[in-house]
Amino acid sequence: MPNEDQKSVFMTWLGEHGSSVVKVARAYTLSNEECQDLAQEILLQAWRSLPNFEGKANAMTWFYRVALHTAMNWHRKDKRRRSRQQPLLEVQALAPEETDSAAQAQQRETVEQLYKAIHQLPKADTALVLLYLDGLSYREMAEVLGISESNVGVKLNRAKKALGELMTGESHGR
Amino acid sequence: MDADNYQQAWQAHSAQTRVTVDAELLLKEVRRNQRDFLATILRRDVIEVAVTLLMLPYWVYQGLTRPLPWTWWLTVPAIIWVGGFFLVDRMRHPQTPSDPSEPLLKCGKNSLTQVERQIWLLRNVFWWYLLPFTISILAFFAQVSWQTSRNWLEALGAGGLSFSFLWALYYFLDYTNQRAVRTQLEPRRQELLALLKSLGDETTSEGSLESTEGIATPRIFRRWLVVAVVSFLIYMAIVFVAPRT
Repeated sequence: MPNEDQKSVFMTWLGEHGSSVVKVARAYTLSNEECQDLAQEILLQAWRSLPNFEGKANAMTWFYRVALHTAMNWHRKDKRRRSRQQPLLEVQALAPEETDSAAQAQQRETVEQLYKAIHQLPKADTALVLLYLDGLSYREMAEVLGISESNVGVKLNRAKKALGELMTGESHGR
Repeated sequence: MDADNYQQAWQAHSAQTRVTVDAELLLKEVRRNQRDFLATILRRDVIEVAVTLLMLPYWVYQGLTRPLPWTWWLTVPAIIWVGGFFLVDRMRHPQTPSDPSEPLLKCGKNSLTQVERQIWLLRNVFWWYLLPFTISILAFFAQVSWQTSRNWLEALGAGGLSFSFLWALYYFLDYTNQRAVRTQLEPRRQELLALLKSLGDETTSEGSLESTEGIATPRIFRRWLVVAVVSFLIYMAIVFVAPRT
């Protein structure tokens, strides 16, 4: 893929699925600084991996594969190397079309609680829950994780139960 | 609130977030990242082997041009062994990073294979790297100190000093390698095993879940104590029995 084509494809995909990068980064880190570091690392890995994209998966599952793989292999010891790096991405909160501040606040609080609960889940469950919350089908989840659809069903039910318990304040051993 | 409500809140929140990326900076970073990566591969795969193999002509040259005792040549098979081991290992187990766009299960398996190979190499570094050099260099030190000393007491003193230095250095190298297995590689291996198990990988047997921790410190000390005692006995035999030339 020529460099300009690659750049254009990458930027289009980022526009469509860039938020998944940030969501994965936030789910697998505990501080804003780490989240920014991991998100940038995911972008670098995604760019590097783009020439290998064969069109077998769709852009969303491809992005998730790269993001989850990078998150699983991410170590804080790499922080010193990235400290020289300038910020590559910026996350903007868009103004809602319909202003319902109470509903917005409730939504934001739920999402914050979800992240807190996700941080307590095992890594594989974190991946499943993220894919579920983002509305991927069983087939797409199976493609991202490399397991069968029936296996996705079984594991997702367990992960959802664990998430529910954490959200309602019940303890869950990590 | 059930899981579907969480999903709705999550997706509504996502819709209000936009990620913008500085494409030029990303390209610049990728190029820098690529250079760092290649430099690491070069350092690891080429320099390790090249240094070992370059030692060979240096050793032969010194052996031919200087009046050195015959034990100097014992290091030649040690260098050939270690260099050959490096080369064969790199060819049989090339440590290329997996493509991150592969499914998670496949990437996890690939990473596990590489971590387990690295653990095997470090656990056995005593046998394939440290011991061959220890034997050959200690023999050389012993012969030199014996030949250049006026009596057995002086020979033991001179030989003992160089012997202690080499022993301590190699013991330290062994210790740091086993520590790396315990503190870095084994936790990573356990993490990968847990990930594969939770993804329902049926090829991860119960046996592979057992710990392969690095050799414990008392055991490292014991094996180097054996090396020290055996070397000392051989040295004593050389000093007291072998004729001085």
